Amino acid sequence: MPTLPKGTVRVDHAWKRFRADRTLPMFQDQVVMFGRWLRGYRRPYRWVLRDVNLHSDPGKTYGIIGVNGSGKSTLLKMICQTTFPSAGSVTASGRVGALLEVRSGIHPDLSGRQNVYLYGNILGMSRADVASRFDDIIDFAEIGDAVDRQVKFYSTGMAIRLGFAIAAFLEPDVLLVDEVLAVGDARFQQKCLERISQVVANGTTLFYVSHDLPTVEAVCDRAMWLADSYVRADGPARDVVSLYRQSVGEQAVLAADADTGVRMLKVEVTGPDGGQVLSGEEVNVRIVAESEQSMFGAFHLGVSQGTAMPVFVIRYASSFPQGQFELRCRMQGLPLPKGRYALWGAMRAPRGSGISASLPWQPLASFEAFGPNVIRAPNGVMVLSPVYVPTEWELS
Amino acid sequence: MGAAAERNRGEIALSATVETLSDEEGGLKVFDVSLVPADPPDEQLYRHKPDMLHSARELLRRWDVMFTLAERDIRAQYKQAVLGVAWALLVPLVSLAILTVLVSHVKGFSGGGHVPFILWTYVGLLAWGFFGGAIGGGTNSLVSNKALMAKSHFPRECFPMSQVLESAFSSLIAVVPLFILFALQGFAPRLTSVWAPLYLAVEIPFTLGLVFLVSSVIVTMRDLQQIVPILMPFLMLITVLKPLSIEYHHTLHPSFITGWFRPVYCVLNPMAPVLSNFRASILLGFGPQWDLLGLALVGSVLYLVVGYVVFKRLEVNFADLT
Repeated sequence: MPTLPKGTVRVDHAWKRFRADRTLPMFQDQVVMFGRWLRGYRRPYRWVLRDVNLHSDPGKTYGIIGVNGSGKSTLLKMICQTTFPSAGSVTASGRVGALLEVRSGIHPDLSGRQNVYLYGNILGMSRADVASRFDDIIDFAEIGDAVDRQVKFYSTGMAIRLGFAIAAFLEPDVLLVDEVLAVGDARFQQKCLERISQVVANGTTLFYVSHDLPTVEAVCDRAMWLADSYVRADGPARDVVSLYRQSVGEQAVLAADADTGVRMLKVEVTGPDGGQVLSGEEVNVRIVAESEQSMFGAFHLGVSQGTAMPVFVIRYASSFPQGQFELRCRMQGLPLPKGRYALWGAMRAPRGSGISASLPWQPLASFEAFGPNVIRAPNGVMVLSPVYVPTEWELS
Repeated sequence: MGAAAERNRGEIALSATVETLSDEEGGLKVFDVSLVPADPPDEQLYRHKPDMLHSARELLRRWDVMFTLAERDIRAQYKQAVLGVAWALLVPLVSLAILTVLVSHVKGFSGGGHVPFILWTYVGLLAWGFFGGAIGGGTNSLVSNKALMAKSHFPRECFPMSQVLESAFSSLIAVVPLFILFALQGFAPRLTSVWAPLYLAVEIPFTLGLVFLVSSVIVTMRDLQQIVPILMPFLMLITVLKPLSIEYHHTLHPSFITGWFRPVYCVLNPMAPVLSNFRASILLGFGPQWDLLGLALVGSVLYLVVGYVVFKRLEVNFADLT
């Protein structure tokens, strides 16, 4: 077997399956199953990952995105080599470290100090190696005097900070981060992102699983999108994330609840003079809808990158008639760079008014905006949503 | 779930064209999932063929993790207890009290003749304690380390082995009261006690083998977790209270285990000759019973090999089933 440089990860045609029947890991069930097996019954399988190919060189960052249950964590487990692929091969050279949570690696009955040494050793480091980084870890985790206190008496935040600090400062060759940063406060989150950039600059390969798309864009060079056990896309993180956002929007359209008190009949988004939508130019939205009841309420419109979280929201409060009505809106100067966007909307009567007719927050239409490309933030900096700001620079 | 999958599938079909937006390596690739076969080609299916040599080498390389895990558990355990390390003394002493009371009601059982009964029992308990403690801790070692198992990669053998180590540590502490008992009873251990390490050498492979076997089987048969603690005291009573008759002093211990069953019993339960020999050497001044010990060693090594092979075969499921 050729030795790969430390930090290289290769996943070749990896498949993973789990049993699909409801057998518990119990002796009685095994006996029953054996009896059925003798009679020719074969237990059904459910594939959770199909034909995953992924290569990463040292110092690269890979984001893995997808909805819940799409196989992201299973893929990480395979890279960590704690679970075997059902087909294909997975290799990761060097030390592989996963971000710890309380009770996984971090032992609640031990002190912070003991936990640092414990995990260092589990990662395959010598005591001296750990000792040389010990102060950095404690500083970063901001636990100060609590270092000799049992971890079970730490606040949730302290335990999370310690877990991150241990994994990020012991500098494994491959670092696996699975959706944990979201729980820290905003300042610590930023600190973590910066630390991740540093670790990566030192040559660690990072695998980052998250639902938080802005952080994936901020941290990762490349990304893989998994959907329902399949690899849907693989490539530069920004492209993959934007594809994923679109798909989330499309699925929301399919899932939108039709049985509401307010029905959308027609939604149009056009640019100046009915043409293309352009950055910085005016946008016209025309909505034809039908309401079961007349009501005094508010119509909200939002523009998002596909997900339910809009970049901005506009609102129009009025008395809406029963039956069909047309609502027109002119936005002056679209503050968005080039890209594909979704228009979301909701219509609600004020609380306590007793009117049940309403339109839940749902996508109404999607449109393409033309204009300048979005400007990439420096590595490790999270951009929540793209905004187009006309700028003039001067250097003297 | 079904409907959602359908919808997903339908939506996938919309963008079914495989497009490569950039020609350079590493550009965006969008995959047509309808081209992915339902099952992987047969030759790619993973067959778990554990490479024992490689595993053993890996285990040697990461030997220290076993100690780290044992240290973690010992620290965590004694940090909890008000008594601290003294806790380790309590278990054998309480068992001793129970056994003494229990056995004093058994007619005609006189221990080792002129040897104080309490010493007779305690030596047996010590030898058993290491084994019993290892099984007790080891059975759940994989199931209870679920979280660590999912997050880090090192030989899985370290989990049960760390429990064996922990039991060895507790047993070592439990040797202290033995000396106190010797002093109280005005009885000195015999010179033949130097043979004790030999008996340990038979006991350790047996313990390891059984811990491997039980801990890995329990991952797929969780209900055995309840059965093991029920079985162990029975095994102990049989082994500790019904020792093998030893040629030199079979008059002292008439045993029901005779004839052809005796060698078979020694292979099946290596603890029996180990225990008899511990007592005979430490308290009575006899040397090793080579024939029975030899059989016990054969049994012991068999347990180790079978246990390890089963462990490595079942290893493939550990992370998925715990």
